[in-house]
Amino acid sequence: MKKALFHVPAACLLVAAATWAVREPAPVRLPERQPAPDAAQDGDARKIADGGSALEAAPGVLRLVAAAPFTLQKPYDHVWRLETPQVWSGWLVALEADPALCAPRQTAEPVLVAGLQTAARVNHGVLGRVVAVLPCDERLAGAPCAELARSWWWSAPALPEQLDEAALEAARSALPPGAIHAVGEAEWSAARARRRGDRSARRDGAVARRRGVDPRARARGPRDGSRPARAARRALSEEGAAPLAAPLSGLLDEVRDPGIEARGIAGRALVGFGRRAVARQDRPSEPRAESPLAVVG
Amino acid sequence: MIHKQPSLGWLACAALALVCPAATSQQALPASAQALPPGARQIAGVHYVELAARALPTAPWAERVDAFWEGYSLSLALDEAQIARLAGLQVDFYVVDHKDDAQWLANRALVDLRGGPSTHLVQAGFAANVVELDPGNIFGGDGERLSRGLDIVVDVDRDGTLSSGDCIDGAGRAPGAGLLKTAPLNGPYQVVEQIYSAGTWLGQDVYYPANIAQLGPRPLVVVSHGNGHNYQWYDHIGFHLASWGCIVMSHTNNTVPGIVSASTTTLSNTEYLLANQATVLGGVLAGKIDRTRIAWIGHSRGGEGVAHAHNRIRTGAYAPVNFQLSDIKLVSSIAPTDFLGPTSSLALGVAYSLWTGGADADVNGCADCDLCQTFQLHERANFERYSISLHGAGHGAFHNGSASTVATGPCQLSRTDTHLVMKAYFLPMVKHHLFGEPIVEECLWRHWNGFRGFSLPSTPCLVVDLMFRPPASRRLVVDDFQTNPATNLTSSGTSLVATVTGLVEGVFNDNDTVFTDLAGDPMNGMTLAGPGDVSAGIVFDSAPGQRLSFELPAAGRDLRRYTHVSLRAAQATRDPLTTAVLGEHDMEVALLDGAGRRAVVRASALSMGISEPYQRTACGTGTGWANEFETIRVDLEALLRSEPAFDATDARSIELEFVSNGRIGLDEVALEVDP
Repeated sequence: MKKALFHVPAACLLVAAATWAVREPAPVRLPERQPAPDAAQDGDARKIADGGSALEAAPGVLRLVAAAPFTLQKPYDHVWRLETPQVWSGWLVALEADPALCAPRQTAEPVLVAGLQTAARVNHGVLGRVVAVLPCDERLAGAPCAELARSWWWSAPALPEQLDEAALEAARSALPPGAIHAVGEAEWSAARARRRGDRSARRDGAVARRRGVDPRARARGPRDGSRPARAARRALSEEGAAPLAAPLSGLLDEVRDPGIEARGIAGRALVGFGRRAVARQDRPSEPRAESPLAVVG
Repeated sequence: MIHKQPSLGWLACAALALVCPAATSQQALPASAQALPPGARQIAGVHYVELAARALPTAPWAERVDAFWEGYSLSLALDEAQIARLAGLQVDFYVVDHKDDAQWLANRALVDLRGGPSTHLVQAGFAANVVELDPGNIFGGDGERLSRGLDIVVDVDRDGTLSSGDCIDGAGRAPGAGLLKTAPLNGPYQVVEQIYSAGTWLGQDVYYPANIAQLGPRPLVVVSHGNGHNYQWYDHIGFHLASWGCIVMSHTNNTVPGIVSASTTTLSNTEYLLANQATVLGGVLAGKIDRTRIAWIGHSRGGEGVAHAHNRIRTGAYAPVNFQLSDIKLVSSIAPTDFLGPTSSLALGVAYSLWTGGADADVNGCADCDLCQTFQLHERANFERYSISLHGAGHGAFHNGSASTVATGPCQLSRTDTHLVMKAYFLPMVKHHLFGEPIVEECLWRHWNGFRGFSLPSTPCLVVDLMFRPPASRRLVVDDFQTNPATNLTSSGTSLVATVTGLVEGVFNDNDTVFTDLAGDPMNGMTLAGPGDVSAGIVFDSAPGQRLSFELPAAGRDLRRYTHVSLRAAQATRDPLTTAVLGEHDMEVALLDGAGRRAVVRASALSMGISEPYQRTACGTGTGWANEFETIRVDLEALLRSEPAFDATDARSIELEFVSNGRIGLDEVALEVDP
């Protein structure tokens, strides 16, 4: 087993994503769509029932904020589509999206797609900030992964695990003009350039600190009684959603899928976000020193 | 096991009185009796009868029940045969701790829990011999059992011992009555909660008794949350059930991709904890998890996930490593979705329970959304099954997160109130199926009007509708409408005679997308079946004096094999006959014998009725949400009391006579026996 590789840029993206996910949301410019279940009122039953329509002219993805590629030494199954392909590589991305499409519900939700690949959302993104893992394997796809990550859209409400290539193709062809967010060159460059040392990341961190939110606390559970953790919980409750794996730790969880035996990298990544979150966990027989996962970017 | 005397206890008692030889209190157990199977009557000369009863203010004066809440009245009712035998005698009543036959034979002394026996002069007439034994002073005990087993004894010779000629309700294998502790309150154990993660989707929040080192192996309750929910939002279940002796594990659940993924995390977390119990949490659970007693509880997508997980094992799609299918004793879905439909989202061959919130604004139950209709999962379950519907409960009221209760509609329930109700039903379910306390089954079907314990919310907004169906081995179906669709033919092949109007038999699936009352939608408000489902029944308009008469199949003519007449019914939402008078719908349940004798009891006399639909708007025009079925189980002994000459060996039909106008849905007419 090779020694674990932990690439600085990928870590930087994670820092930025975590910080960014809790800052004040930018004004949403899209027309109002389906309300979150929490806001449901009488008369909304039908809309809630069918999940509303994601097929509107305006793109539900507003901006690609950050993107970093990764490759793995052992694959895991991508359960977010019917074929459950094995994931060897892909993109860790942060997106700004229409919050109305991100609200969690039990019924079908819009599915985040890039090209014809479903993205595994790490957080729900009720503030309009989505962190996601986009599997992409150039060896199989025969196309540059960079292209895949530059074409984002939301499918009509569905369960990701029920969508296959044909369903995605049909959904995409049914989209009205303008429903796909094509990432332009400037946006792509900015997303790829985003680093912990970046001014934008520092700004985001400052915003978070002003709000009393320590992004490191987000990697801890809601039982953590520390002041930063309480602040994080407040921020999460402002999102009106569960801290379903706080964005950062969730992202790390996704990366350290047990199928790829990559927990070590997760533990290492957490160093920057709160090692205690790992230290307080009981993880028997878990390899920490080494990982087959390599993140490159 | 509660030994309900094979229905009409008085018949058995009378028979015993004839055939049992007089015996002395010191008589040794005869050799032949020692060879009897467990539970067989072994104490010669003692009359095994039903005594425990709930007193009623009007005829039929009492119904046979076994369960009593601590702090509430405990009564006894002598049946006609005993009255005839004992009339004019002064007898002593004893309430004692339960003992099996061997224990009674070893020590026949009667030690009354009230400090001493009560004395009663047996008089003519049933009502005169319905006696309150205790107003609610007997302590429910302090162990982890929900019920304290009691035996009730009529000491005829007043010698302070269980001797020949005395009557007992109890002994044998099971208590005669169970005194239930207040279910919503915590049990005897302090609880430790610990959170750990073993990797992706293996985050677990574990609750267990603090003194687990001193306890034997514990049942495991697994909780699988819903989409957008959190595994740490189930303290109310975790702390409560752990305080009563369970190990509870709530886990991170991969719900966003879909139900298959959610079921995978239910399976993988169950496997992980069982496989690693020796090491997780410092080894505190090592050897303490009884893998043969597992319950799965899921919420929303997780609620469908647990049913699907069970089905994956049953169909061989998943082969468990650390447990097997039969180890799953209970599957419970809280406000579940139904994405996968009739072939995949179902729990077969296992006890199943369903929770539905009338004010649920997410899995909302509207006619336009099949995957939002919770009852479909319940209908597919083919073993013992329960349904608990709470008017006013929102989707988020079932967890204890801080977000909205995701509710819409009037008279909404708070999270606190909802959780009290959850505790009041989850605990009996778990005690019944994981701890082997069948006596608490009554908690899961008796209507609150006559069986409401302490610590439950007092808000008038709280309406709880229960459905209950025992396993097939305990029931004889007279008509479940699953075959023979002609409206004059029951599913058991006998005749159905109806004088009601507008009778339609069909699948319980609202045929449009609204709950609006429309002439072309006779099954309006029915959400028990979706596409591909088969759950069927009848709907009709009722008026005073109109009847439905179900001829009994040959196997149902001898009523001594049964304890209850059972049916389930619902008021049809938004129908003018429903909305004209909002309230409980009453009916008479009758039996006819071969000589034309008719025994009858009104459901309301037994504190039962059919609730009006939850008064929620939307989903079309009008007010009233989905039709909520309720099970009505009528004590056969109470029913037959109205006609002493009724020939219980030759019953011919069950008759339902309506006493008011209404639009009614009806299903599952059956004869049943208690465990």
